[in-house]
Amino acid sequence: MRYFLLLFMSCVPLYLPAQGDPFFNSQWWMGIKGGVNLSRFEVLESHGVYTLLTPDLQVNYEKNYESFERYGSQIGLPVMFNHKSGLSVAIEPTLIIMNMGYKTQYAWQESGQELLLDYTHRVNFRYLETSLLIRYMPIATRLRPYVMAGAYYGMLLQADKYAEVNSYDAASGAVNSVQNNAPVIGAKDLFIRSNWGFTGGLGVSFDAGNVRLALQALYKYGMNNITNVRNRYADNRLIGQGEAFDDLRTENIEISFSCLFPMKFLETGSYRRVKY
Amino acid sequence: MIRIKLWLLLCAGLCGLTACDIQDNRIEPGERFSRIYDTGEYERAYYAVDVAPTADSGFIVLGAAEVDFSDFYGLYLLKIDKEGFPEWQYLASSDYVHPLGFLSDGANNLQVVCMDATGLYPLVLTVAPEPALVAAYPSVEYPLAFSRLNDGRLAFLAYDRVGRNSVVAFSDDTRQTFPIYEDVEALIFQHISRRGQQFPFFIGQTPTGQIFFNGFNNYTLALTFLDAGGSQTGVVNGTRYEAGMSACVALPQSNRFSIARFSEDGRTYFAPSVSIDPNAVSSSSNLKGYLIQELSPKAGVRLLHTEAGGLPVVLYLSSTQNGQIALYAYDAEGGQLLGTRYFGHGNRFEAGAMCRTPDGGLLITGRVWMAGRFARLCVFKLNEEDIRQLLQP
Repeated sequence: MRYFLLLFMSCVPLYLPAQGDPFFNSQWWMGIKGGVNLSRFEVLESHGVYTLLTPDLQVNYEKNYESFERYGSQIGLPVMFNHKSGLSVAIEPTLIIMNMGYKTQYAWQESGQELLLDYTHRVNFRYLETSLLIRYMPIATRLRPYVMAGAYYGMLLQADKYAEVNSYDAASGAVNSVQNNAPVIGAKDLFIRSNWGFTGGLGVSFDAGNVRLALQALYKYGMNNITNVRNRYADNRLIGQGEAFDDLRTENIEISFSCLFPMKFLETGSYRRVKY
Repeated sequence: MIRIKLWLLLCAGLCGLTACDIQDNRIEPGERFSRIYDTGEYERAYYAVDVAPTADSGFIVLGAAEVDFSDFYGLYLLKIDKEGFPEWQYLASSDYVHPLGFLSDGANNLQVVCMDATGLYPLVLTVAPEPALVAAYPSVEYPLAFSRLNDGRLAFLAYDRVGRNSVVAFSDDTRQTFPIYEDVEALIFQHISRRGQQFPFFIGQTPTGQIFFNGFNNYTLALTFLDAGGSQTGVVNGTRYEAGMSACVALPQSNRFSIARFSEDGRTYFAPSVSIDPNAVSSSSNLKGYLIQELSPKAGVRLLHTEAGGLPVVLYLSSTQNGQIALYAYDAEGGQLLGTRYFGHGNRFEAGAMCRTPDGGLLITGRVWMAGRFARLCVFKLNEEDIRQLLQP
């Protein structure tokens, strides 16, 4: 911990303020955060490869999306500027892993013969995300609740898709379903790089000496379609599975624990920080 | 502080640069799509026979479907809109079997040629809204291929089971026969009923008016050239019925053709620009071409001579051994391969037909074995940009 603090202190310019100096009215914080997230993907426009010509079948070929069911994780390096008024501005570069899941079902039935296929699709996204947040801490106690709002921008690093297939093949004599896995497909080209949106949430921080611990929850609402519409039908492996991604917008609930360290100290050589 | 400002500026700059893709993430509906059309049926299989654009910017797919009322595959039509969504479908309930292809009546009205289920002669039908009879040719038995000639007449390639001849019959009731000298009715029946080898029968005409057909002639599968009177002028012989031409399209230059051929071992060769003397006797094995190892044994090949990016190109459509549809683009003059593209993966895909689209793209149809077992129609639509990329050497 000592070395860690020293590392941060080395970033602080050597500056000896006088009494009444604005230096004492604010504080810079840097640290680390991590946590879990849950996602939901809103369908803006539905697309697919399998097209049903007889709509009166028992199954339709639509995708049924999971809603805030699959956990993801995130880790970030927040930087925050606190003013004595209780307002603060935070930038949080974060590596976030989001998971999406949906199910499709296909059936072929005729003259007592039947084949049912249940697909569980999973898509894993990795974004390098930067949030710009305005926070407000209404009370200046050791335990400080706060609210925040802002915007975020995510840059896609990687996306992978895989599927589990549960088949019930009564026509071949099966009495139980059989599970198979489809190979993992790199899907980065099927999504655009950018994902931006607005975010808001609340949290609580606790000052433990020179370390500020915080627990916060953020709701993020994506504003753009993340699917690359030009490449929707570009991957033969997905076409073979009858798959094409819908136009999607992300929603994400992120719960993070952060550990922040002050950057401004009252005296060089000591660990007494500026209050805010 | 200055460092932090710099970092902020850098982050903002990166966001600005990468966010351009949000603006670019647009495409006109129908520019690109892939569709697989399922009916949920367990036993009925479909073949893709032909495809054509329609006046409403959509497309119509001609298929062949297993039917209960005949040993032959029934006429099946699937109308799709410009985005590939189905509008209507038609499956013949009787009479109309063995669909051969689309035909334009010269006034932009699409017609379809098929076979009468009981009389086994060719029929010409309207397409929409429901097929209706336009013409029947009861004197022509076992139709195998057809073509609209430059003078507007229809030419049919057919089989005369009594005289054991190949027949080139015209819509003005004239005909020429070409003796096979042995009974090949079993092969013909297996071809028409799709229960055996599918032979690449076709009939066409060069820009200079010379008619040619690929059919049985003098114990072999042969590409035969005819003069204006219908008499044979030359022939490119195959090897019995085990080797010969797979596809052929005449190029604008005199006696130049783009061809695909297959050898006795089932291998397919492409010769995109080859000279054939229509007044000579030769052998298909002498037309060397490029050996395309990846294609299925005796793979069906469709050719389309077209212009793309200002270049005359020949597109070859066929099916690979690993179950993909393969598209090859060749320079029609130099014969060089310009590009290839593959469609489908996992489940087996098989090429059917292709047509250019009004937006400068290409529509490919074929069939796919959904879940590895149900043969269904599929389409792939490429836009003009895809074609341009295909042609980049």
